[in-house]
Amino acid sequence: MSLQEKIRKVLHKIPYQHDKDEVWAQIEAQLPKKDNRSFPFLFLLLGAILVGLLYNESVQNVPLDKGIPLVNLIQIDQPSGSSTIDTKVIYAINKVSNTGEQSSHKKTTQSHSLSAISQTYSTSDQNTYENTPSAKQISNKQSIIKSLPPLSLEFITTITNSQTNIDPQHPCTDFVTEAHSSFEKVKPSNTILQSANTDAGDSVLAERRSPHVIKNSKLPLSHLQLLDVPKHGFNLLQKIPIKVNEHITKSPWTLSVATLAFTPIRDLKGQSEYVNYKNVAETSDPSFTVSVLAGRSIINSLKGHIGLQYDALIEYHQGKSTTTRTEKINSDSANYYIFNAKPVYSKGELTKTITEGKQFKAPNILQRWSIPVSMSYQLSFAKGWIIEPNIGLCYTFDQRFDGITINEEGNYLIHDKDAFAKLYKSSNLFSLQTGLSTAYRFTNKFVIDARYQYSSDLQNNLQSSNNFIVYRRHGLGVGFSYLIQ
Amino acid sequence: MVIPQDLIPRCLRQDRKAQKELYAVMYNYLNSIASRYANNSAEAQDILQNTFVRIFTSLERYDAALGQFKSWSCKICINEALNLKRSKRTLIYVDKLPDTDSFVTENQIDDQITLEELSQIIQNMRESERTILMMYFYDELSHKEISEILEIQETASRARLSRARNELVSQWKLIHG
Repeated sequence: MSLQEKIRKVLHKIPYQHDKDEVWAQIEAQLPKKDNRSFPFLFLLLGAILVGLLYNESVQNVPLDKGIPLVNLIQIDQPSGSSTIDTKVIYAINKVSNTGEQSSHKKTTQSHSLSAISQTYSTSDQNTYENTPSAKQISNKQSIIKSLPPLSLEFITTITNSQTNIDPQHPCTDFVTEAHSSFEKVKPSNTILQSANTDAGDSVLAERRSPHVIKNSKLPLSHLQLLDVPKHGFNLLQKIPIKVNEHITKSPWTLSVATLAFTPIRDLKGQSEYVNYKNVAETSDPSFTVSVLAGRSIINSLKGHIGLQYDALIEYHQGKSTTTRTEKINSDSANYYIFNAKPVYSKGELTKTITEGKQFKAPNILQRWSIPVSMSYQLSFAKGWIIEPNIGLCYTFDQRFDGITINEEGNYLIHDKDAFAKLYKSSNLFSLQTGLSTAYRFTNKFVIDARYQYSSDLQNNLQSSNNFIVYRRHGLGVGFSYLIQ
Repeated sequence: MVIPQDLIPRCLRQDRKAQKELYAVMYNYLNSIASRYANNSAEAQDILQNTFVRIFTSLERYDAALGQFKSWSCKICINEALNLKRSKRTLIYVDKLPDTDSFVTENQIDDQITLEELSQIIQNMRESERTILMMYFYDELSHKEISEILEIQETASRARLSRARNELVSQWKLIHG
């Protein structure tokens, strides 16, 4: 046996015996915890994005008070068989009505008012139209129209214009600006452009037509204010807060703040015209809910919650209805064509094709203040992670409507609170809420959760018992909870 | 001692379950090292705990291309043992050579020294000498590895081992008159 072997033998020592689990427990206590905080921050980011999108959406909605521009478009065609000159005329007129503004705030159920009116007339010609100064200006204006930002609330209507003038030397000016001005800017402006072309065809007008021109509609001019059958709908949002507390016995009270974005589902029943209108013309937008809840442990993992909840239910009320008719007009100078670089005027009878109608898009917001009462049950599935199903009732003590809707008679209501109050219930509504949340407790005091929530009204949202509207919605959201020790 | 291939990557992700698995696999081996360097059970447990904590917190520094995990963890364990001794000031480094009049080679005592004599001599040796004997003969560490653990030059490691051997021989000579 070598010295090395002898040394090894001498140095060999029977290892000391330790409690293996105890040693591990002490080792584990000194080890860094796994960093799971990226998940809560992802939830935060998601929530911030949702709230930002909703806020941005609401900011883009122009209040009805800012005016309702109305654009009238009239197409005038000379009968193809009656003359060798095929002329198209588009009139461009800007007209802003003071009376429209005033009437828009009348508490009437008869009609809505038009706060601004824009009417456009022009005459186009397939071959020479673009060479005329008027045509160029029209073209420029049309391009301006396209470049302008879309109006969130817009009425487009065609009407017969009794102020038609024909003056090729003074083409229309600034009508685009007028068309987008608010109704307090009272500045009537009527302009007519015309051009003539012996070969002009109907297709020219189609190419020159404003994107707002609507054809082939059936609407009597006398019923302009009732032209459209707008749809009416709301996005209904509600939210149920969820409390997450990993150690309920140590933190019986929780205070949570949550926000949710919802996709609404609207149930409409009944056979009335009003409900039928709503089915046709409304689009739901994601709505949101913010709630503050206090929760307390009832039995072990069973918790009760009560608090205050705000819902903003958003929808877009859209309407479009048009009619087309023709009228004959006589003019001594309605037509011209270019000959030797000079306009040559000719008499003739023109057929004016008028497309009438209106198109509008208005944001409607249904706001609710409610008291939610719910119960939830906490299930721990991993360290710090909790799944919590919940169910509860929500009592709405205040409901307000802001926007455009249709009353029982089929007339439009705009910012008419009295009329809305007759149409919608303003309080004492109940809804059922249920959902599931996944929560992560990232400190001793704070819990963050992501949740899915479903909510359904239990009552008719309308005053009328003949009609029946129930809002249902489901959506995702994030929430914070603060644990009170 | 077989370490599953995916165990270390999982430990790197701070997977507590994997860490416990690695702990179970390495426990006996590291406990034997800790026990040899420790003076008592409590000290051995401290060494063991510190070793595992150091392993898990420094795991990203482990490079499989540079050596086996077993060797890497062994060095950590020895290091922790020496650190503990340093903190308790029980490890005394003596650079001065002991007074030995005669020079006796290892070969001279290889066949003659008994285990009892050797055990008695080693127990009476300075701890620094006993440690380097243990590192070199028992743990089979190279001078380079010893120098890294003890934070000394490689030549100093050789010199210390040489002193330990000389001490061994001189003590044996004293026993035999």
